[in-house]
Amino acid sequence: MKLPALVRAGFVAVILHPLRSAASVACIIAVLTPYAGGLAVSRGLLTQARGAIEGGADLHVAGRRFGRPAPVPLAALETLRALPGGRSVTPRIVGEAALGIDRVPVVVVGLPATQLGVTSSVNGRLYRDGASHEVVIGAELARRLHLDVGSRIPPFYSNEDGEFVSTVVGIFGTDLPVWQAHLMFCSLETAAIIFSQKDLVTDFLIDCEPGYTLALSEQIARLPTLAASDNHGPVAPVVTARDDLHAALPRNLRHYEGIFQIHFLLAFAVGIPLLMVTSGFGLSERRREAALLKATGWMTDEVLLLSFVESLVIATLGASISVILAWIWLVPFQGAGLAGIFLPGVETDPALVLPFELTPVPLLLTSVIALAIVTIGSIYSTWRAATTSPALALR
Amino acid sequence: MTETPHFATRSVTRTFSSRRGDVHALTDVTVIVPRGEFLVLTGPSGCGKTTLLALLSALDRPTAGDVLHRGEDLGRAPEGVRALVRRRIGLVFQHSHMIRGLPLWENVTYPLVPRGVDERERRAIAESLLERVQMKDCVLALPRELSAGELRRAAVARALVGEPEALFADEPTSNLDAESAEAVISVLRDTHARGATVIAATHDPALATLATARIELSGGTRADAESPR
Repeated sequence: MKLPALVRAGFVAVILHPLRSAASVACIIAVLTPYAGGLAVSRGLLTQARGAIEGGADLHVAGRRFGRPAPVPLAALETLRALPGGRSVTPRIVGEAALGIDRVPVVVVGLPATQLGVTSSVNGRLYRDGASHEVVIGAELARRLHLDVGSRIPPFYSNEDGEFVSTVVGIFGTDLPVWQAHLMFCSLETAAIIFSQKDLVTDFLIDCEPGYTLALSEQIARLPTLAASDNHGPVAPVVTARDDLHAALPRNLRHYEGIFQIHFLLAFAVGIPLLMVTSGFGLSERRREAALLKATGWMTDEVLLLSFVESLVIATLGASISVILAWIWLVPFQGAGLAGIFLPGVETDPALVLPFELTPVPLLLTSVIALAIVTIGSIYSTWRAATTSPALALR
Repeated sequence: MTETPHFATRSVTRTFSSRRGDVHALTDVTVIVPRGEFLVLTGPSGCGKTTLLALLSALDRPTAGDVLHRGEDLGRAPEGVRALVRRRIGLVFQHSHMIRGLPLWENVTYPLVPRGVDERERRAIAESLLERVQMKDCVLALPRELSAGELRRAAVARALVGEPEALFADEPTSNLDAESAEAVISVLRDTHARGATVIAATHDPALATLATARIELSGGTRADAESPR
């Protein structure tokens, strides 16, 4: 019976000191809202990336010379197709280019349109195969370069085949994964011209028959060369399975999450002293109240428990409001200012649906951190109030 | 066989440090208060009455000497033991000391919170106690809505919560109108009549007439001839 009565008194104490409570809640909100939002984006990106890997090929086969990545002759397609256990083999070219006077970096992906796998969310149409010089671009890229369906892109590369004007025939919808926001898709042939790498590709995507992934992977890895040696000698195979991609994925995200955590640590370091100041609001009044409680028979630990419940209520209130504000930040405001931390190049108002997950773990973490901030921030004032001699405090 | 006194001090001294040097609030004071006594402490302002009340009621610790409750040394007792003693006594402070945001019934019964008394029972107890000080209509009032006299009577009601075995009152009738003062005196009289020990510091002759014993302090020492009582 004692605990519920003390808990109720703790709730009442929050209302008894409105200025202190409001200042403490505001302090928590200032620190935790960006944290909850950032954590949710990080988790959302991870889930979306995992989904992209799951929807991708079973094996990625690239080439290596002198232990370094090297283009693979397109002729390797037949070698790979001849191996048992493979269902389909798709050649792909992936490379970087720069567009516009601002030299906006884009990732050019060349592969057959039928392998793109996305048609419903494209505004316009997909490119035609062959040297069509037609491209489909991501929504964020279109926004940054002010491109629309039908826009012409002036030559952004120059090679021995000359210069070509590209045509935007489609733009990905904003609901597609963020990975496609900065991409430019085109046919394999167009990509080969852009990078002037005729009959070469960067890698092959292989879908395997069920249960053959490992066997095929090992078989490819044992090949002395992916295609007949050219003037530069053999190209050794590099096989990456879906599991390898899953394992490598968090590493990159953790890098950004780490940067974010450092930012947050700084905010946390500022938040605690701030809360120490706000918890001092009305300190003399609180000391008098604590002294009164002790004078009327309250034990020191009961006064401390009362303060702890008060901190818990403030922390829960602050954390809850922070999560709601984080949601508002991420949904109506598209994570303005927050997305760029995790997605370099994405500006403050990204033209894409920012993936986020306000799952129980970040929410719980937010609440625990809020409690830690309030408890650490108010521990000194609470302890002083609870341990001061009642006779002195009531003078 | 001599009965153990309810409260007592033995050569008690209390010194406070201040910027102007040490202030000797009490020096070598010995007091014995038997159970059921109505002791009145008198003397000019600053003579140590409040300090002596604070020591006897376990609000403060002595610089030297002993403070005894039923023969147990309170001065050196752990804080938990002293809190338990305070739980068995009622205190009326010189200032009413109410918690501003709480309605009167909560203020009066707040000492019962850590004793696990539920809200409904506390409300009933508060109504009964406030009726004893003629303030039943003010159950829901906030402290800021009450006069000084009403606040003092409410403080008396709070001191009576939990049927204390002793009541300590510091200037309980000072700055009160005649009606409020009479109400307070009446409650103290009733409490004493029920067998509780009452120790009051006062300048009020009307209150002093209730005393079964009187101690006069001056300059932090006993100024009366009777010693040790």
